[in-house]
Amino acid sequence: MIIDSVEVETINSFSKLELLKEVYGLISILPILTLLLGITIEVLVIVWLEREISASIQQRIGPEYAGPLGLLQAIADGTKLLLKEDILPSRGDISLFSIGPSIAVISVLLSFLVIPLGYHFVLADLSIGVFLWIAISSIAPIGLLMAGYSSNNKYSFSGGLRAAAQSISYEIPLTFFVLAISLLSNSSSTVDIVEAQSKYGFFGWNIWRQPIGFLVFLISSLAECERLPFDLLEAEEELVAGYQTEYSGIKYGLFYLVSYLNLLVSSLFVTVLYLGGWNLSIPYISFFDFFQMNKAVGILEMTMGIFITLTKAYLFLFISITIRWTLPRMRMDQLLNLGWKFLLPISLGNLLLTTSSQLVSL
Amino acid sequence: MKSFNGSNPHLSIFFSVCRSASKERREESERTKWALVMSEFAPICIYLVISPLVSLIPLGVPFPFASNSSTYPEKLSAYECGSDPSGDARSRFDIRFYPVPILFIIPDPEVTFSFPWAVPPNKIDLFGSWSMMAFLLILTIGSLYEWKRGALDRE
Repeated sequence: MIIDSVEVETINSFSKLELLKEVYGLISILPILTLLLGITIEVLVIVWLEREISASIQQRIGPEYAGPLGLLQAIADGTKLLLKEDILPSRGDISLFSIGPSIAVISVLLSFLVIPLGYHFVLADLSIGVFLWIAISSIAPIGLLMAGYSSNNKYSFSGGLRAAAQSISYEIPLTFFVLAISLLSNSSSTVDIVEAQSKYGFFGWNIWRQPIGFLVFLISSLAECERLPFDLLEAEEELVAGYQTEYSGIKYGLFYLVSYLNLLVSSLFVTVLYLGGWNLSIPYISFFDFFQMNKAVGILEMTMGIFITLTKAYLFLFISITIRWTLPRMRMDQLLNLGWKFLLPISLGNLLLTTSSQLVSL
Repeated sequence: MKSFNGSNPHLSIFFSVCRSASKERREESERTKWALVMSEFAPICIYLVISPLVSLIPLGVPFPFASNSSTYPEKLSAYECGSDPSGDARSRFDIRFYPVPILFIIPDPEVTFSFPWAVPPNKIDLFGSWSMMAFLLILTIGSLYEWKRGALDRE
């Protein structure tokens, strides 16, 4: 395979920094910091959105004192948690206790690497993109187990075990459905998967080709994020707060952050895998060709790509938040039965169907 | 290649010229391959450094603000809804949580090995698909056995 230097330069010019092309390392810091800033702002928005939507569903008023319309509520909460005392349990394992939430945060933050917001607008255009996400999201249960074990609390330990069992049980149907998408798109790269959905506009989305997959992916990612109806780990009646019982201050804030970050990653992946990513799905004749200014068109396309991806992701976020405040909680054995005895055979059957449809069309 | 050296001098010169030309091209393509790999994975390496910083720096922020908790030792004991904690937290746990990760070990490599198979279906044709189906069939029989034996029950 002969690789042109032109291709290398195309991949390297991720943003508009043309001066630092030879230094590979420095190119990547500014986009990464931009991404982290974007993620922080998104988490603030999601926290506010959840509180407003839950207030509307419960017919009360949400946050209204912190900033206009309560928009700065998440910043207020975060600042409060940052300034609180860091309580370490007396007979717990202090190093594991401190590292537990950090491992969960790192594994979720790393998943943002492969999410594309535009054609050349992805941090790392790996050919194994979705597989990297699946692999990294398997690290999160380790952090939860560490947190539960090191707290030296029966309820924390039990909660940590349940969290790990739930996470790994729902990873397998999730991975099988991602595998089916890879089969349809002939690639594991997220950019290729979105490109494969761009041909027929609205009807090229993978949701029409894998409707069962969309529903099961929704269910499995809600279970991975430990949100209702799979909320058993935070069941206040049973487990106090599960593996988060002994945590206070910013470590509790990190768990809170993990929950919302995970939700954001899942909704972005639903967008990329099933809803067509950054493609504006109204089939339009590219009127951008009429404009002769290439740079302005590039920036406009980038902005539109980000806007469209975020709109679709926020649709899924709205669905998740509404589900959380509408449905009751499932029991642990019902949860595991659903994962192992219902979703796993469905995922294998779907894989068989997809393979046969691919073979027929060969 | 060895048998050609003595018999046909033109062919051997042709092969040596090809080898030296392809070596230069190979070095050039290896350099660009290295550049490509580095440019693909450099963001990951830098991100791997930055994200632990993001998650570990907030752990140190409360230290100037926090009060001294050694004056209240009850604050540090395990939480058990107000009463004193009874027994050791790590003596026993429910045995039914033990088989779940063990049963996870089997489908996890199953799906991992399916990923290289899923990507190029037009290159592996019918034979490749059916051999993967045989692999999945063996593992499905195992899963059915564990289901019937009740490894997933009562959880």
